[in-house]
Amino acid sequence: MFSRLTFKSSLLSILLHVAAVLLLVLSFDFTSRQVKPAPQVNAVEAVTVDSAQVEKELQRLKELEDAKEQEKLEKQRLLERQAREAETKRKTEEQRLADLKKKKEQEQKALEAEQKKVAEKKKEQEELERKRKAEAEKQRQDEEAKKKAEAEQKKRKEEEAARQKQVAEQQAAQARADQSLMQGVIANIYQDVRNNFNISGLPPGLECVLLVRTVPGGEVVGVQISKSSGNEIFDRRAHDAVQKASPLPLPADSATFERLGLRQFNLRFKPQ
Amino acid sequence: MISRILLFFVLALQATASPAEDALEIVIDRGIENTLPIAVVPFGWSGAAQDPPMDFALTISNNLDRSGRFAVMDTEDLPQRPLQFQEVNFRDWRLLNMENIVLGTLKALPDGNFEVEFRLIDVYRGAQIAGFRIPASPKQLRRTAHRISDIIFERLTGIRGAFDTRIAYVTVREDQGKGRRYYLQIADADGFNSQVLMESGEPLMSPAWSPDARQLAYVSFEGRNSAIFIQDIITGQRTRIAAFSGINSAPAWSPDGSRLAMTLSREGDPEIYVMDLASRSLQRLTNDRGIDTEPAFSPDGRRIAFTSDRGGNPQIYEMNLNGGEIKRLTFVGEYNARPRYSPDGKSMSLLHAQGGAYRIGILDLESTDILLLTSASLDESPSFAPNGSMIIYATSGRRGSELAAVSSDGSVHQRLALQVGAVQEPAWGPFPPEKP
Repeated sequence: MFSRLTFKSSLLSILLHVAAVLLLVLSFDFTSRQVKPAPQVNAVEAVTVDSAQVEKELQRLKELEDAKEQEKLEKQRLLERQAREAETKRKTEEQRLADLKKKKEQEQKALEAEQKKVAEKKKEQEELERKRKAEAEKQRQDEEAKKKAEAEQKKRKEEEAARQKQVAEQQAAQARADQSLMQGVIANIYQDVRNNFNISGLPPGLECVLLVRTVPGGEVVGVQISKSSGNEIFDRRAHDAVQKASPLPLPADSATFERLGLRQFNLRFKPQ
Repeated sequence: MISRILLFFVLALQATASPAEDALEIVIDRGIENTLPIAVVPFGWSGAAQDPPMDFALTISNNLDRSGRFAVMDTEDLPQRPLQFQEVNFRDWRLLNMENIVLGTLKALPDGNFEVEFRLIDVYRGAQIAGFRIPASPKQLRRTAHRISDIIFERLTGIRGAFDTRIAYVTVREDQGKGRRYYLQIADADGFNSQVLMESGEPLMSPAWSPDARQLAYVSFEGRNSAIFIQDIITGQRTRIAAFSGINSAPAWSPDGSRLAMTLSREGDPEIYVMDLASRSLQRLTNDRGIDTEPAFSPDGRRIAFTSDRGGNPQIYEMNLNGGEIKRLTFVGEYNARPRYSPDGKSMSLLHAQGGAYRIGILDLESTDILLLTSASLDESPSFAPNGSMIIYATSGRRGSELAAVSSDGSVHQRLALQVGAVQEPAWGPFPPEKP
C-alpha cells in the first residue's frame, strides 16, 4: 500500500512538472505568436524592447512563477502527506478495529468451540455410561439366557438321548423283525422259483444270473439276464421260472417292502 | 435238509454285493424235472377245399406228446386260437401257466403245392423262439409236420428231434389164397406213411438201418435157408452178402457203415462175426460153446455188445473189437437179451425177463441198474430213437403184436398207428442225412 501511495505521489509530481513545462512552452509560443504580426504594424516599437530587460522580467516572472509553483507544490505535498497520513491512520484504525473484531470473534469462536467440546465430551461420557450400563444389562441378560439355554439344551439332550435310545431300540427290534421277515421272504422266493425251474433234460453245470425287478406285492415287473449260461434254453427256463413264480411272496406294504430292499435283486440259477 | 437250506440263506444274505448290481443275490441251486407245457393251436387253412389235407396241429401234438417231454394242452382247453403272433393274448396263456405255444397256417398254392408257416412262442417272454415258412408238396406234408416237431423239440429241450425219421419193421399176416406172408416195411416214426420194401412167403427178420439211412440189412429165409441181404431203400436193389451154411442172422451196422456184425453158425455153434463190406472178409469175434448172438456196435464203434448163454441163461456181454476180455453186463433177471446202445453210449436197451414176463428195460452202463420201461408181459425188440429220447418196441396187444413207443424215462407209452397184421422187430432209423 505504501509503495502504491509513493507511486501515486511520484506520478502526481511528474504530472505537475509536465504541466509547468507545458505552461512555459505555451506562454512562450503565445508570446512569439502575438509578436509575429507586429512587425507589420509596429515594427520599430518591438525592436526597441530591451532584451535584457525582457530577460530579466522573464526571469523574475519565472522565479515568481516557480515560487508559486513551489509553494503550491509544497502545499500540495503537505495536503497529500496529511491525506496520506490520515488515510494511513484511518486504515490502521480500521485494521486495528478489524483485528480486534476478528480477535473477538475468534475468542468467541474458541469459547464456543470450547463450550461445545465440553458439551460433547459430556454427552459422550453420558453415552459411554449409558452404553456401559446397557452392555452390563445385556451381559447380564445374555448370561441369564445362556444359562437358561444351557439348561434347556441339557434337558433337550437328555430327552433326545432318551428318544434316540427308544428309537434305537425300536429300530433294533424292527431290524430283528425285518431280518426274520427277510429270511422268510427269501426262503419263500427260493421255494417258489425253484418249484418253477424246470431243469428236465438240461445238461449239468450250467449257471446264469438274472436281475429281477419287483413292486410291492411281489409282482415281477422285469427280468433281465445279467449273466448268461451260454445255453439259450437254460436261460429261458430260468426266466420262465421267475415269471411263473410271479407274484413273488413279497410284502404288499410299501414301507416294509422298501426296507427289505428287494425292489431289485439277483437270482443265480445254479442247479447242483 | 432244512437247516442246510437256512444256512445257505445266511450265506446268500451276506453275499449282498454282486458284481453286476449292488443287490441281494439268491441262489437257486435246485430245480424240478417236469414235462414242458405246450399248446399247439389248430393251424389256419387257406385253400379251395373246405378242409386242409391234414391236421398239422394234431400231428405235431401227437409227436410232442409221445416224446414224454411235453405236456400238450388239450385242444378244447385252449383259451384262444390265434393264427398270428399279434393275436396272442399272453395274459390268458400265463394264467394257465402255459409256457409255449405253437401256431401256424397251411396255405394251398396255385401250383398244387403248399406252404406251411409256423411260430413257436415263449409265452413268458412274449417273444417268438422260432418261426419258419416251409414249402411242401402234397406228399411232403406229413414230413413237414415232423420237421416242425423236430424244430420245436430241439428249441425247447436242446436235444435234436427225431420225429422226421423212419422206422423199419416186419409184419406177418395171413393173406387170402396166399397163406402166411411176410412184409418188410418202413414208415414214419409215428407209424404213418408205411410202405412195403419186400414181401416174402418165407420169414423176414431183423431189419437193421445203415447209418446213412439209405439201406436196410435183414435176414430172409427165402430158399428155405437164412441169408443176410442188404437192400437199397430207394432203388430196391438187393444184395445177398451172407448165405453160409447154418444160421445167418442178426446183422448190425458199424457206426461208419463200413462193416456189418452178424451171427453165423458156419463153424458149428452161433458165433459173432464182423464182415468188411467192401472186401466181404469175415472176422470171427467170439469162440464159445454157447450161443453168441444179437451183436450191436457201440456208438464209438470200438465195442460190441451181444447176447450169450455162456453163463447158463441168456445175458448181455460186451467185448472190445480189438480183443481183450469179454465182460458180462447183466446180472439181474433170468434173461437179458437184444442189447442196443443208446446214442450217447451211456446205457443200453434190452429185453428183460423175470418170472415169464418179457419187458423192455434200460441198463445204465455205469451203475449196471436196469430201469424197466414197460409192464406188459410180452414185449420185444426195443430200439432207440436216434436222439435217445424214445424207444420203440413190439408188444402183444389185442390184435396180436403191435408197434409201441415209450419215452426213455418210461413216463409216456403210446401205441403207434394201426398196422395190419402182427408187427415184429421194429428198428428205429438214423437221422436223415444232412442236406448238402
